[in-house]
Amino acid sequence: MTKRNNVIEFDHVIKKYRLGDKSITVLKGVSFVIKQREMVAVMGPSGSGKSTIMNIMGLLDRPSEGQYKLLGEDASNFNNDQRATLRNKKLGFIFQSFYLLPKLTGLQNVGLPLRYQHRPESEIKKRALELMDRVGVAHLANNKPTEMSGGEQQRMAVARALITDPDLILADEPTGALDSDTSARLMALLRELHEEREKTLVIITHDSDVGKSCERIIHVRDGMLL
Amino acid sequence: MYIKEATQNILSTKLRSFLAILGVLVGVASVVALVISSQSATQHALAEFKKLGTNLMSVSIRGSGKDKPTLSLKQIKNMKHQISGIRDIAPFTQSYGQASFQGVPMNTTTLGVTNEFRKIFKLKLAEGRFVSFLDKKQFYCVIGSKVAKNMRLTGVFQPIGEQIRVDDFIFTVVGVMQPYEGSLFAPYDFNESILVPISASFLLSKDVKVENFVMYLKSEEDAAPVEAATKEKIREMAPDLKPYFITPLEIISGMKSQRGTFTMLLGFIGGIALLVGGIGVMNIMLVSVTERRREIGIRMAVGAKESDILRMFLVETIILTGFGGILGVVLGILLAMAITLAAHWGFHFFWMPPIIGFTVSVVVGLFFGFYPARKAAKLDPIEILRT
Repeated sequence: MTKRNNVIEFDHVIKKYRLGDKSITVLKGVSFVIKQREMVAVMGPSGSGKSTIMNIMGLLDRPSEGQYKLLGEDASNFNNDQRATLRNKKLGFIFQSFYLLPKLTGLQNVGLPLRYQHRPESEIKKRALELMDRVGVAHLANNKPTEMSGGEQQRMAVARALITDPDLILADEPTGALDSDTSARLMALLRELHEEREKTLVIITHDSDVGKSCERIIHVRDGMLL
Repeated sequence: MYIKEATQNILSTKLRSFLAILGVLVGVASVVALVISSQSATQHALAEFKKLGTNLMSVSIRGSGKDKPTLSLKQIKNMKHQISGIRDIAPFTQSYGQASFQGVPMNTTTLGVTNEFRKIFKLKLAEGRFVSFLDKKQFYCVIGSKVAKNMRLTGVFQPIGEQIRVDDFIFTVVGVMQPYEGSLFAPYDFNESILVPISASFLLSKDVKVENFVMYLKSEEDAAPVEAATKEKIREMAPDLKPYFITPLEIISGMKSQRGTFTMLLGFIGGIALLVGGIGVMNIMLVSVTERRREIGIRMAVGAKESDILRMFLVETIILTGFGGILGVVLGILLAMAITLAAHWGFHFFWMPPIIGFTVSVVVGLFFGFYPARKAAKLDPIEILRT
């Protein structure tokens, strides 16, 4: 068995928010490691701080104290442009409410991350169509998100998250806006993709069914790991 | 990529985009229309001067004071031989007497002229003959086209041979002039003039004197020496007379500097219009940034850098104002065509106003788009995506 590198390392991460003159501590010293090719669920009730964990992992937010290492590098050293580049190349996001751009077609939405790499249009189109075909939404390439069902939109978002061939996929309540059948099918797809492409997959959820389909669960409550 | 998406975005809110660029459009259109029109007008005026040639010099010798000093016809005519550089010299008189035809007063000017006057002002006859020095003190006259037209309106088909009364004198019409297109250098509207032999004009009243003469110079370069020599000559003959000289070139240069001032004024007004237009565009873009916070957040999440977001909004604003600029230029040119057509100036196309108008509209987009674009680029993705 090959040695698995650490993709994510949280070392006593503390996150405080200021709310007026009060300071709220959302994460109270969280430490954990997620290794390459793991499929991990971060579970906890709402307000537990799991979304903050996701935002820090996704380089959308910074820890107040403690250290976060992404792919072995201390994230606090990155400037905004480096963070954008890492989000683009190393991370793929899947959001609860899909976050597709309403004015763009399915194809344009899926290709968007590659456009920020200034790849040729023909290459973007080819790779987007391949991935859309893989997740089963190739027939919606020229449709706008409003013309798609929730399940279809989330599949588009999965294709978008995979298009830059990232090391880590972060899914924030990916099934939160879907009915149970569609949820089950989406989770099956994520599992397949995880195994097929050997991607590290972190799913933030409060749904225990989703948690159970992962290899490991990190439980969060009141800003602390259980 | 940016241009295509920006165009998509602009087109998705057509009405708002149109309203946003309206200020820029109107600003550019008015500047382009006014500058082209005023330049066409100047061009037209210059062409008018050039019709008669630019080697002319008009001299006013209207005397003042009790005895009203003046020069005699002969003294003036002799200057042609005394001063080199003068090809022709045409003294003329004006009489303030009331002219009438068949008892109906006419709104005309009676000018006492010579054959040189006809040559210099390029007067052409439609029929009949011109009055000549052979007519001496005969009461013959040549009438302008409008005078002839008015006479025909009273039922006279052939004005030649008819008699026109000026004060107590009767003049017989011997010629009718072609419509005179006019020159800004011509002292009167010849279409409404009655031309009589200069010697006859002196008989109309003792107040009729030579107060002006026009010189046709051998070349433009002679203007300064001829002016000096003429001034000197007049001072010799009538020391109290203060001659006043004017040449087409002086008027042209006056017009050119006036045009410069006018263009600057128009530019200033246009600048204010564009400033207001730019603020309008900035407003719309700020609204757009606020409305598209989620889009910005999503783009940032999938890897857009601040510079990408900045460029996206900037390109959108520039396309918006640039499009307004193009529409403004087109509208401005059409307006200029309408204005010049209505004013009979003849449309002259100038490249500068459209080029400057378009360039300025792009610069306005760049300038007023920067703040909203920067605001968008500085948004924090986490703030926007938190729902």
